[in-house]
Amino acid sequence: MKFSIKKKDIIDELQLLHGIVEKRNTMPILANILVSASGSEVELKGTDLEVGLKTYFPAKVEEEGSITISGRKVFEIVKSLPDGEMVTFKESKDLTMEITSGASEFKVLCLPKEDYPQVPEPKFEKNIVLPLDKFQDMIDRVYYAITQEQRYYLSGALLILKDNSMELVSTDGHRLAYTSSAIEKMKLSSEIRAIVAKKTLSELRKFEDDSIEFDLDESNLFFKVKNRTLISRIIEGKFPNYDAVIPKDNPNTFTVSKEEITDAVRRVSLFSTERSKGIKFYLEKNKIKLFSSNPEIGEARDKVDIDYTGEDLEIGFNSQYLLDFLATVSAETVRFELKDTNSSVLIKPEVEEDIEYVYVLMPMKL
Amino acid sequence: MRRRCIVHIDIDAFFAAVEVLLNPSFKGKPLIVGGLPHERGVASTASYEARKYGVHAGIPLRKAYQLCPHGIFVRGNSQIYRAFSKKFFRLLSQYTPDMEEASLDEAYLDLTRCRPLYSSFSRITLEIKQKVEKELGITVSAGMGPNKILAKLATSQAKPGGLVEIGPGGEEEFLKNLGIESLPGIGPKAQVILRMLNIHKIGDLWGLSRPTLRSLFGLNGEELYLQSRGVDTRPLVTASVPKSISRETTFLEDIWDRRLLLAHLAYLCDRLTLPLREQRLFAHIIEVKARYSDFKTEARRCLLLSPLQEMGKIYKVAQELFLQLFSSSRLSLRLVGVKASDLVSARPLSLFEPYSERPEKLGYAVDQVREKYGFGSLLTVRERMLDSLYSFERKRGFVLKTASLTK
Repeated sequence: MKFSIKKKDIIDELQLLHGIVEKRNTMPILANILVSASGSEVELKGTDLEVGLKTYFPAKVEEEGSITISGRKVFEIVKSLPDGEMVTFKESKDLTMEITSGASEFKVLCLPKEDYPQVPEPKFEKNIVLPLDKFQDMIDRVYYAITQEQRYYLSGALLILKDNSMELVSTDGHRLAYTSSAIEKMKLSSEIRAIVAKKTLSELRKFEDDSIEFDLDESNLFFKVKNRTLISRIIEGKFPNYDAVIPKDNPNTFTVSKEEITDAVRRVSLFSTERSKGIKFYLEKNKIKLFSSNPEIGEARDKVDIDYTGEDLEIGFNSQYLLDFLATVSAETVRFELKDTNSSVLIKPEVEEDIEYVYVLMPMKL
Repeated sequence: MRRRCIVHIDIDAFFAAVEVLLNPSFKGKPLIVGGLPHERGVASTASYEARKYGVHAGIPLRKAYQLCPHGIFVRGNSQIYRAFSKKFFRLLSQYTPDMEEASLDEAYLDLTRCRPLYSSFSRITLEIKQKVEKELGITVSAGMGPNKILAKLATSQAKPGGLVEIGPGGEEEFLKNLGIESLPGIGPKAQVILRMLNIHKIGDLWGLSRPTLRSLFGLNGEELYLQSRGVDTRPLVTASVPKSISRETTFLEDIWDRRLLLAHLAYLCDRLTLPLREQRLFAHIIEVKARYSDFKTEARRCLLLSPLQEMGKIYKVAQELFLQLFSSSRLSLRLVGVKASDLVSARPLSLFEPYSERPEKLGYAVDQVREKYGFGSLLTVRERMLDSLYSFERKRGFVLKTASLTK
């Protein structure tokens, strides 16, 4: 195998693949990417067995062939080369790849292509095309509430596609982020529901284009943007019944300026304990008093004026959980709907937006 | 800076003193707490009479028996010691809110803020000492100084039963002739190094410069430089949340029976959750420890998303961890322990399990029953399987083997 290409035409692909390949040292081959050259195209594949990426681009191919090489090393090498240079990749004897550019020469040890795990073959038959920027905005709104823990089914976000809407839901058991957006009418034979791995969502955020193609089979999701296809194993398990925990008619409500409440929470949380990050809200007529204390540091208090006329209420929150929502909501004003000290709180933008965004937060016992 | 008044109070031969109270016939005799002579383990306390024979805390029981064959050996009961300890701290806290519980049997009091209340610090310290001795029936030693290190060193000179005060200007004189081993930063290894340099007393240490000490002992050297001059600016650690709470026990004989092991584990979990409830704490990490008959020790831990306090739930986690350890071994066990760490008082409520106060209330109700009728009055069936191994008292529950001085 031998091919040449300009640095700028391959570096982005290598960077993406570097994000995909396995970083822990479980199976050495998973740290590699599969490089194949044929015709006038080079194809690169990387996978950690959960998420895979396939990408191709035109190149000057002199000899066809394929081999696997460390995803990290090849990225680091190409990155270190001067911009604008041509880079030549040449497979030599004894499973090595020579990478040359100008006066620079690298010989990288490789592994045979036969050992590379099978990356599922993507298929796009349902003709589903989603607006990418909207999808990415939705990912931003649910991403932070995905956990990495034993409950495997919570390590991703639930994607729901209906004929005229797409929805994403994530939860870590203490809070839930829900977002939904109308899309151009599609013809789906049935509603699609699948749990998408956190890593896949993180990779999807890096893609750039107007739209993204989507399809799935029994065990994999396929996302395609231009020359790049992401293959993501569907997370098995039953996603919790999220609709049942979204409170419908919490009686105690108020609206507040996002900026004011964010700043106050941030200030008061300086004194919350490292582990719990707990702060307290005291809701009284037309104001929230915020409070936190730490036996080793001291106490912090603050106050925000609001339009509150409900009953007096004392409620604790994880300040980070509040800030996570406030940092991702675009509205200037947000609306809180509360019931009591021990029940979930609903927070959302005051005015409904293009992308519906609802956050459900359980209080903290302090 | 204003001179502080720090008092260090330490119970003399704590476990032994309690045993004498429980059994007055032990009075004046060499008494060793920790286990019977033929048993394994180490002495956790020796009475002053036993110390004359060279027995001290930490030496193996067999060795203690060789040194003092006519000594009285008892296993001890950590529950009773804890109860004493609690009373000890309660008494002390009546004199100042600034108290640090350094271990089960020692405390620091900072009287500085109480200056307007007490005409003389020496007099009030003596009063505290006498009050504790009268109420608890055991003797304590006390030291007074401008900081923690000096107060503690003063106590070591006051033992047993005395009171030593380091007054303003008296620091140098006091420290000069103390042996270097009395400084907490100097362990056996450091002692060897210093003695090679012909340094035996704290006063000798003053000849070493700060850089010299740092090159010898690293950061500890810095500490040592200050300690040896009686400089210590550490504040008292008063409202501290404990880092972890653990309960463990060595068995009288190695155990292989899985059900009996689980019974021990359940009992330890039960014991463990008592201080959690008392301090209203929840644990994010549960860890189970097992020591096999070949002395190999293994531990396994679990990080919980929602912190736990409830005995039943903690036992469930502990059991699972234990079985993971146990099923991979064909050896019998000599020790099992459970530890709760990453303790928090705040806990997030769960979205998918409706909040209920009942488990928490149940815990407090159990505590109330036990307060009135004794720890043994309410035990699970699994715990009662220990009946065949240990003496059981309604008041105190099972008398397990290991007692420990750590909080």
